[in-house]
Amino acid sequence: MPEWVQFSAGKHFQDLIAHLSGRSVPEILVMPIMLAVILGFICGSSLILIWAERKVAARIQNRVGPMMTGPRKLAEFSMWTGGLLQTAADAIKLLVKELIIPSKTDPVPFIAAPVLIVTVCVTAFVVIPFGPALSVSDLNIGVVHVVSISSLTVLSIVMAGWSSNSKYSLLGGLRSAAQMLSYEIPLIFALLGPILLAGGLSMQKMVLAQREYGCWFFLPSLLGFLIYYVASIAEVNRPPFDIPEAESELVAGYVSEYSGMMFAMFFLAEFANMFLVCSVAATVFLGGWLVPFMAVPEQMTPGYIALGTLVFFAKTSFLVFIMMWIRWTFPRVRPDHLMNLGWKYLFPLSLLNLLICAGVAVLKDVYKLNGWGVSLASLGALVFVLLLLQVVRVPRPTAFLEKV
Amino acid sequence: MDGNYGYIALFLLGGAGFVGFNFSLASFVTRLVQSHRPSRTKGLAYECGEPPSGEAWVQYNVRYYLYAMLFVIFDVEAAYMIPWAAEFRKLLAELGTLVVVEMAGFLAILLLALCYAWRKGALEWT
Amino acid sequence: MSEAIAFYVLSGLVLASAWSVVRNENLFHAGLSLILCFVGVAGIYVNLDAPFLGAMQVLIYAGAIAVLLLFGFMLTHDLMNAKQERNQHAAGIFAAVLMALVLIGTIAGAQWYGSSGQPVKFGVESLARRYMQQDLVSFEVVALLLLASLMGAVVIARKEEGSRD
Repeated sequence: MPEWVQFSAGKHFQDLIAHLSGRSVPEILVMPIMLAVILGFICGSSLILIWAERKVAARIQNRVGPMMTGPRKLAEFSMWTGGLLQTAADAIKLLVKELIIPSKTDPVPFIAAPVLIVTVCVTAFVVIPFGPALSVSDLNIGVVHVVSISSLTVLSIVMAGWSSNSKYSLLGGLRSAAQMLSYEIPLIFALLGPILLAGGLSMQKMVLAQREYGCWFFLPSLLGFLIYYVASIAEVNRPPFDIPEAESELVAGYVSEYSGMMFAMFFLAEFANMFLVCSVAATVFLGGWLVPFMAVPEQMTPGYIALGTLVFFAKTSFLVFIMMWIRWTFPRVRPDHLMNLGWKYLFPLSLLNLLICAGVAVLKDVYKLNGWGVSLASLGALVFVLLLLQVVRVPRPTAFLEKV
Repeated sequence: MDGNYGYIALFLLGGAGFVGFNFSLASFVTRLVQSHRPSRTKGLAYECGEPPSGEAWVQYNVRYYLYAMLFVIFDVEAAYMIPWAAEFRKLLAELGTLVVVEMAGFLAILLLALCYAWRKGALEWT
Repeated sequence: MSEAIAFYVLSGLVLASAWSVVRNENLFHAGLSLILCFVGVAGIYVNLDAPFLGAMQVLIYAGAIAVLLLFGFMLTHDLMNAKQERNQHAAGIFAAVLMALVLIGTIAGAQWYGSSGQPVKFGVESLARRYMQQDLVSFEVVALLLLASLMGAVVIARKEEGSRD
């Protein structure tokens, strides 16, 4: 394990301050700076993501999207450079809108719900490795920290739904809670595959394990990657899994009664969570900051750190873009179909993925086979079985499980 | 290196403080530009423009409870499997295939539980 | 030093929220206080150098059991102003004293790790090792126990649903 792995972003700051001022500062003084950086990053990235989402939607629907707010010259240049300041303007609008707390609500949980949902998301960002030695703090429970702290989001939604004392909010909140609970199980089990291959829980170790293994973990656990991705779309309540906020039947679900800044916080959390789940997927399955076709230098250089960070953001942005694409392509799923997909398909398949990963690890460690080759072979076997099922046309294999 | 767990506490407090600051800023600004004008009708719960009929706090379907129960059970199973998965390769080198066999037993019982719930229609959204 | 401060702050949080759980007339608020209590306990685990245990406490208690409890509360009639039956004080005190005795007995008789002054490493690895070696049988028994509880939940919920229709 190279020495630079132990570095965190906070230590870089300490070094920088020591370099500039000539005296060393304790870590506790640097910690608030890291907090400010992450908060700023979440706000900034959400502003950009909301703008990007509207632009992607516009492109898919053959429109141009927001064009008027922002530098005029850029808007004339192309549709992708217009309306850059639209979300900033929206944020200001939300700031001056009245904060209505309906008279029949339960005020304390009503106000605490948006606080909780943003806080949880901010806290999960602690372990995200933005680049080599560039996580805020590389906790040794890494992945588990993200999963466990994110599981509190569902509480915030139950609180918002119940305390609003509105029928739409309550129905939306409960549906959302049931959905998030159901998809958290396949999500955790899908992550077990890469955890098994990496032999650890820390996020930076996860990235380094993929370097050691020879290929990114989406290859040996392709099934896990797909399950994680689908389940995380459901976790962040995005279409096609947006039953809780199905606007044509539930107004806006659990956010129906929120206005102004309180609504803005839910909106912020949605986009920050979207970035969070995609960055976890990029780290765990797509090699994080590993630059493809380039060896990691033994001595970490600033050049590689910059390049690695860029690659990490490229991978994450790609996954975010796919999520937006899915949103504007697929129709909303019906509640019973949604539950079926989670429990009857994704969950058993995530167990299968775990078994495949265990098999790959055994073949690699016990029989000393090449990681690449074994992964490709397992992938080939999976595809072969799927094709075979298509050709042989077995009657539904789960028929014996139908309700008695 | 275990990482600094103080960051969790700091980020929990900092995140809450950030939202609290936003709320107080918004409440100050709305009073400044005088958009803060509460009224009785505004304080009503939204119900498509009609005055809301009755409370929303009513007893509701038991199926949500059932899903939560299923979630708790499989969540606990996952909690048991995480240490096994994280140390799988290390233990495989020491103990051999016993590691695989034991977890296969655990997984088989888990699958049995899933099949039971499935067959009893507990996974059905009715 | 900072660990001691964290311990007292977290203990205060746990005790205050536990008091609120017991004294709150509003069941929903009591449930939310219980979540705060769970998170405080998780903080104490992390402070005691067992971060994995802390994460599991958050995942299972605050994230899963608490939601189950809230859903359970919502199944009761008139949740927001349930009047407590005031005549259960004696039974409550009896249960509390019994619990305290059991806890004090356990704590007094326990073999304390780390009392020798050596820091104890309690991590994911030692957990996994125990599952695979000493506690192999109990590990499988846990799975059976969970299966049994699932069967119980399904049976009860089906009965409840049948009586509702």
